[in-house]
Amino acid sequence: MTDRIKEQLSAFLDGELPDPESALLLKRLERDDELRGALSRYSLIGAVLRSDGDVPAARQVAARVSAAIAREPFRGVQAQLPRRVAVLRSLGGLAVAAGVAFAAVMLVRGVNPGPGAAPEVVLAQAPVPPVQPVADDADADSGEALAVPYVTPPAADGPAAGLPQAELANFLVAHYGYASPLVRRSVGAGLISDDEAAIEGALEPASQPDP
Amino acid sequence: MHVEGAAQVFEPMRAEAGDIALVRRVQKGDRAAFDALVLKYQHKVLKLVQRYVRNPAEAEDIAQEAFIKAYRALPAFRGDSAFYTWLYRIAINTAKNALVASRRRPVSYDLDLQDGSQVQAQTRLSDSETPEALALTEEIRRTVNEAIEALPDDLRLAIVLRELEGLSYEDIAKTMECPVGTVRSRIFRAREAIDRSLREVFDGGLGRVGDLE
Amino acid sequence: MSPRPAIAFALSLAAMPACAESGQEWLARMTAALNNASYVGEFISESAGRTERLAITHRVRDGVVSERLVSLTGHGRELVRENDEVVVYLPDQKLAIIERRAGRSDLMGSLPQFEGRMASWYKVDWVGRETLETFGPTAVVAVRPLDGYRFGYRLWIDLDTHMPVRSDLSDGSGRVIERLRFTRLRFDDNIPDSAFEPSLDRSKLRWVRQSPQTDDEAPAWKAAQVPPGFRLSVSGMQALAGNGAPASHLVYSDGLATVSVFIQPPVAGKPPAQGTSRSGVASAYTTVIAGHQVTAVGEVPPRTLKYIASGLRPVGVPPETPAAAAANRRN
Repeated sequence: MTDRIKEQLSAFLDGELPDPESALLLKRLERDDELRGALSRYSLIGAVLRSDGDVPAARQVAARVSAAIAREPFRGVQAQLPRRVAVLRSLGGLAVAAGVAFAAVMLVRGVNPGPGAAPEVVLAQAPVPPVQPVADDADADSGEALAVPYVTPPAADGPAAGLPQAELANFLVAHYGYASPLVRRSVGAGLISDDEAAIEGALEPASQPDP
Repeated sequence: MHVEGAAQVFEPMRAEAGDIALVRRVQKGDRAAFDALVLKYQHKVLKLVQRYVRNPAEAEDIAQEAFIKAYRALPAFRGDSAFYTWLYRIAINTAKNALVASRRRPVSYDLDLQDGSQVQAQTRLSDSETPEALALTEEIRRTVNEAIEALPDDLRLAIVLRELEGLSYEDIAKTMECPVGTVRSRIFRAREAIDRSLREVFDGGLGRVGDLE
Repeated sequence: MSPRPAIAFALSLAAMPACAESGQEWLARMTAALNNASYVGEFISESAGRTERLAITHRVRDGVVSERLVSLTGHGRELVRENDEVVVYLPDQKLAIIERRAGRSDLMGSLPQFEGRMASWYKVDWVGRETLETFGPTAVVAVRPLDGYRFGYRLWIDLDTHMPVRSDLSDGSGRVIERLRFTRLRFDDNIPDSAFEPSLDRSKLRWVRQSPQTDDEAPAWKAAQVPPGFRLSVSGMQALAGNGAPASHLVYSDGLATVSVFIQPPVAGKPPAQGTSRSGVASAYTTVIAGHQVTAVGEVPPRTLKYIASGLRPVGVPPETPAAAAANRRN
């Protein structure tokens, strides 16, 4: 390993190596353990310099990660679902609305509607513009990136009752600020929780609606 | 070499832009680029994780898990922000989840996670939690600091401006009134000098750590 | 106002005699602490099958309330509130929802409060003192609903800080439906602004704004029936993400529980939803009245929501043309 290569490595670490040279260096890095060691130690030096306290030297991390990802199938730039959400998705029933930003937040179980008022005849309807995203970008706008993987387990007696969970989330966001200080934390917790709710959904069959 | 001209030729990227370039490569299937990101950030991530999990072996496990999670999530990373900020978040979550999992008890959650004695009581003692391992960390810090002190002024200033001030090569060149190529060379030579001392630590008295990557 | 209201507040508490062991007294202290204290903490929210660990940062400075809630067990979702703006960050969905209530700023000052009139529908009992492993001695207070329209609470109030370090929310039968416990709590009068910056990467999120609409008109809808104790505390128009139609938003509170009612004009091609749904301690009941979708949301039993929502009526508009009237209001 020459000093020229190491100097390139040093510049690479700082993001100052031109792209074509970076590509070559990456190839070399793949097969040159000594070079990998130098990159690791160069970055350790930086971490120690910037740190108030001691910096632990990672010993096996890079090698083990490298071995682990070598076994991973390559995935493209498609947005992926976190594993638990993917499990949920397999339960079926996506909440998706075309062209509308959905804020699906939590698992919601539909229960039987009461004998509420029957829908009345809808009178004159003025089209209402959708809420505009205040900052947008083209990629996120595509349905792929926004595909909302949330699921309402269907009620036992047919189609899901109550609100789509995404809409409920939107209502709760609007409601949050008005809850009493004591309860607000609970409302907030419900709004931003997702992980354990997903587990709950997986554990509780959809055939058990609320009493 | 004229400074501006050099800057144009090299089109120097900031460190963050360099990360983004690596991220783009990973997204196109280049695993070596992810390797490079791991090599670059493993110590930082490990230090972060050790705020939650003191046991070095467990902390390495968690750091490893965080990187693998990051790799899996990377296709969804849009790259218009700092990669490390994003990685930091994943590492924190991984560490906290590990902590919660290790402390999850059937009945009571009345535990104060700030209580270090409880955290330590719950972590398994492994051979890496030895005086040698702890001494190594201290030894690294001492070695790096001593090596920095021993550097000629121009090399020391260059690496300090880079690592502590976070300046780009171009800005360092302006500060030090020298060409960008010289800055690049000085930073390299500073690192190499410090690394020479560091390698002695890894290869020498504390021979157990010869496997540092 | 003092530059350090929380310190002044803490001093005033220290001067308070420690002999008042009545439930009402402790509730008043707790409410004051919740409204005035600045703190950083972590708590666990447990409900049937769900355990969530959250970090909270709460600051009151010069009357401005800032709050940040971060899920530590999920995808790192966050909720950040800066006075009258609430932003919910959903990194897993690359989405941020902003909710603003400009023009209704007085409402934050009229937050639900425990007060004398509540004695008619809640029974507040001093239970005793209990020592919690994490926080030491606490005052335990039970708040029991006197009818089936609201939830009950059991509160463990820290003797020094007067913060509810644990609270159990129970339904009418006394079954605990949510338990919230602090695992860490630290008071801090100098929480920096940076503590309210979301730690996730904002640049890759898609932003959706739920903004208030015109606010200067009387509510065009009102509840014909509310359970005893509930009063209208807020009304206004509210745009909602994910649903094109701005909603009339009415807020009813009994001083502790709060119910929001949203009334939305029909949207062509979108069948109105009906029925009950639930999220954590909050439920929603939605129905159709006079062609409008009426949705009640709140941390109360579903029956309360159904009772209030079913009683919603358009006001000052001939009953046969409410949708047309709603369309006029939008124009």
